[in-house]
Formats: sequence, C-alpha cells, structure tokens
Amino acid sequence: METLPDDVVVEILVRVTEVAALFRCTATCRRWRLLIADPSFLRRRWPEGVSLQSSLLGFFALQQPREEPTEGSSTTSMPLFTPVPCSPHRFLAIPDQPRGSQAVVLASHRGLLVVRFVPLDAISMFEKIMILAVCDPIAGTSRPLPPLKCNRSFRIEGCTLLTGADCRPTKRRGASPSVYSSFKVLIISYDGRYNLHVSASNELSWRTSRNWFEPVEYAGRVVPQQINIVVCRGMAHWLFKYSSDFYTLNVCAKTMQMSITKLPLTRNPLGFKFSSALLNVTNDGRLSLLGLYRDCSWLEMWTHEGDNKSVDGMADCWHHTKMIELIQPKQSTVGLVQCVCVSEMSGKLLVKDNQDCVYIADLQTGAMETVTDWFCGIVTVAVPFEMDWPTFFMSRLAGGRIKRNKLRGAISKIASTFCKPIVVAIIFGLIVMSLDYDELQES
Amino acid sequence: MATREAGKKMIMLKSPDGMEFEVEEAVAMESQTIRKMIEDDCADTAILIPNINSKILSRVIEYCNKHVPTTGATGAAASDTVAPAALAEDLKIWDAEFIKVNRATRFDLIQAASYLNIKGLLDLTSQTTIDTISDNSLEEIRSFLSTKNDYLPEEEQTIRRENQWAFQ
Repeated sequence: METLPDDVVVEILVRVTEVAALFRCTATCRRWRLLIADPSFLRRRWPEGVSLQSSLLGFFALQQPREEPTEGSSTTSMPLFTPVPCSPHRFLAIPDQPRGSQAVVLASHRGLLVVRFVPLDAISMFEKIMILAVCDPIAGTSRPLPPLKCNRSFRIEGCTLLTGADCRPTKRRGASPSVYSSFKVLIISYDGRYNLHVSASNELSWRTSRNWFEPVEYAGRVVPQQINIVVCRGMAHWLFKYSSDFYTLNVCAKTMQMSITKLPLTRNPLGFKFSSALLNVTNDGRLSLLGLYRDCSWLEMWTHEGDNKSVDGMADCWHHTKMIELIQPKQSTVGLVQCVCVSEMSGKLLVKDNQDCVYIADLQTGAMETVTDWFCGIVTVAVPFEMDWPTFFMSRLAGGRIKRNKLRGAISKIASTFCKPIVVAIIFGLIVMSLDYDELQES
Repeated sequence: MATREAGKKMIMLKSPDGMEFEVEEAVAMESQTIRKMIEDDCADTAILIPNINSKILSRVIEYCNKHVPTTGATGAAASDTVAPAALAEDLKIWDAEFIKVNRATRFDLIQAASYLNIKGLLDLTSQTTIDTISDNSLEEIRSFLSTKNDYLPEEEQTIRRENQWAFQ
C-alpha cells in the first residue's frame, strides 16, 4: 500500500462501512490517520444533508419488567443502553455512577448525556433535590452538575444540553464537545408551577426563572409532550399542549431570552387528531413537528420556515410539509398510540402501540420494523443516542491530539486529586440529606 | 487514428510500454477520464495512458468490454427480453472470477481504475480489498496491505486505550 497514491488509498478507505473498522485503520499508520482525519474524506464518507443511518447508536431507555416483579428482582437489572443492531458500541455504561443509585438519562445531544442519579429506594419521580451529571459514555468521562434544589418537591419535565456550537447557530457542525468543553444545561421542572433552570459549565449553581409561564398557566392544564428539549439554530424548543393546542417554549441559547409560541397548525380536514406529537430537527437543520394520528397510521410533518432571528416572528412560519404513511410490518395491524422519541440525524421514530410493542419507523420511507425484542422490558421513556461521526473522527484524530491529551490528562488528574474528595463529600452529604435518615436506620 | 469498422467508432489506446489496443469508443468511454478526452476532442490520435502497463490495461479493457451497456438495436429492447436480474447475476459471477488476482495486480487495478475513473471497477477492486480489512486485527491489516507501522509503541497504546470501543 506504501506505493499507492493517496487518492487510491482514499478510494479503499471510503468503502470501509463499519465505523469501528475505519477507526482501527487510523491506528495502522500515520499516513492513514491523516487521510481519514481529512475533512474532505469525512464529508465523502458521511455526506451532509442525507439521512445518516449510521449515526444512531441506540437508546437509553427506562423500562419496566414485562412480568410482575418477583421477589428479589428489580428494575435496576434492566440495561440502560439498548444498541441498534449496526451499532459499533454494544455496551455503554454511565461513567462515575454513584453507588446505590440508578441512572436516568434525561437528554442526549452531540454525544453528551445529561444524567440524573436516582437513589435506588426513591419511590416517586418527585424529589426536593436532584443529583445530576453531564457525561460522555464513549470517552467514559463525566462531570458533576450542581445539585438542583427546590423548596418543594419537583419533577423534571424537560431537559437539554447546549454546546458552544449551539450558541453559534450558523455552524451546524462544530467540534465534537467533551465534558471538559463549555456547555449550558437547561432543565424544566414542575412543582405545581413550571420553572426553567439553567447552569453553565463554569457555574456552581443553577439560575432559575419562575414566572415565565404566567401567560398560559392559570388553568394548569399544560401537558408536556416531550422530555428532550430540541435544539435548532441557536434556539432550544420545548413542546407542550395547552387546551388542545400545541405550544413551544423557545429559549435563545446565547441570551436565554424566552418566548412562548402557539403553533398555528390547521386541523386535518377529516377531523383526525394527533394522539401524540414530537419536535424534531430536519436534515437541513429546520425545526419540525411530527404528529401521529390515533386512528390511522399516518404521520403529519410540519416544518418551521424562517431564520429564527426574531423570537416573536416564529408563529407565522409553520408549514404543513408532508404526510408520511407508516408501512406496517407484515401480518399485523398496529394501533399506534404513542411516539416514544425521534432521532434527529438518522431520522428514526420510535413508536409504541397499545400492547406495549415497540416499532422503529424510518421518516424517509415510512417503513416500520418491530423492535420489541431489542428491549428487555416495557419501554416507558427512551432517549436516542446519536453520534456525529465526522465531527467525532475529526476531534479524535486532529493533528496534535496525542500531546494535547497528555496535557489534558495531567490537568484533569491534578484537578481530580483536589476536587474528588470535595465532590464526593458534597454528593454523599446530599444523598444523606435527601434520604429519611430514620427510615434508613430501620431498614 | 479513430477509425470506423463495421459502423462502430474505434479508439486506439496506448500503454507506456508501447502496446496498442484498439477498442470501441463506447467501451473506452466506460472510463470517465477517456470520455472527457473524447468529448473535448482531444482523442483524434491514439490516447496514451500513462502509468498503466499493458498487462493491467488489457485487463481494464477486458472489464470495460464486459460492462459496456449494449447500445442501439439491442439497447432498450434488450432489457425487456433478458431479465435484468439474470444479467446482473451473470455479471456478478464474472466479476468474482475477474477479481481473482494476486494482491499486487489488484492494487495496480485500483490505481488504474482510479486514474481512468471507472466507477464499477473501482468499487469492485476496492470492495474486495476492504472486505479483508473489516474482520481483521490491526496486525493483519498492516501485513495484508503491506503498510508500515510508524507509530511509537506508546502512541499506539494511547490510541488503543482511548478508543477501546473500536478495538474490542
């Protein structure tokens, strides 16, 4: 191969379909590493603007056992990560998970996760204090977030992570972020009212806005539609329903300025109603809404046309884009009831029927596949985990990568030597505080 | 030196070692590089194909001869009479036989296909090569593709350690 010119080697490498095999090739010699890390090579291998099937690695799902729980069994035995068949990662664990806790993935964005650690003996979803962390399951790194506290018990209704690239909306593909890069975490909580909490990676506490929901909150019939907040062109969007209309809460990634938009969706002429809806981002980077009909297997897609520059100008620019007919798997008529989640880059929708069977639908073709057996139990919540491979390869293989890593490793080693005891002390303190101490002793 | 023979336009291809190959224009135009030369009227005399010796060039021509779409009277009509699936199956078997060559020849063929821009041949030769990459360990890839490992041992260790997922 030494004698072959670069463009011929590229011809061979670009045909390596398996991602792990391609990555292994970078370790054969420096020349191959340079060829593979070249942006033009990566663009050719993963063309922009098409459905990137290989970007979906799997789902972080909360599951319930299918049978009645017997003595000794618990939900914690369910694996958190469920890979798709073509995923190069079969097992992904949450790094630095505190002992005696269960990890719940709240959001996934650009390869990073926002995770909540729930004490194993927690009974309800409502807590007064929540232990959270941002982690990178592929690198196996994590960074604790400040604990989120409220005076009253609350639960989390929406979450996302905004990276540096999201604050510069013109560039859709930024560098692949790590837990050490700068980010903001957005959380929407409900404690009788809806609150928005923001914490940036360089902050030690949460900033909370409490009164933003006033315009529609008076009747208290807000129904959150989607736990993951969708990030699109420098804005974070959270979907909710209020007296049979759909609304989005829009938060500017840079300024954190908020607004609420009523989506001007015209009713289907046949009078069908959505049984569930999800926000998504299309391949060309526009905000879209997917509505699933209860009685027939059609998906309706609405797209937001506009530059998102003016927060107030959002409402008028929603267009009905297309209807997608869901093609049912053979010999079954599925009564679809609920969209579970949608993956942005690979364009896949996870749907659940009234028998708790799970299907994956391709948003391009509408073809559905039964995937109930991917999961061990009944899926209640799922967060898709996607990887932007070109960015990932570039970040991992960039020129001075090895040297930089050594430096970073040294810094984080020093930092962790000093910070770990403090962090452990804080986390432990909080766990103890959050548990009823007497009950603990009794048990 | 383009000539007409039995109603078909012929093109002369010359390899650097002095061999000449007379081929139908349609066959030569399987190569996008030659097609461009012909379309730009640069192909009045024999086309010299640099860097590709006569042995490899003859194999490339053999491939193009087999893969050229049938034109004219047998063209569109043929696809109705002969089942396209059977035709494709036939080509596949032929390809599999064609690519049974040693490693050096295959690399020469990749190089030729790349220069002459013949997509089908490039796909075939490269795919055969990468099929051997996918399932093999690093050491096997290196020895198979005769690539020298120029990483320092500690560098390679770092790559492996930080990207265990790819090396499992």
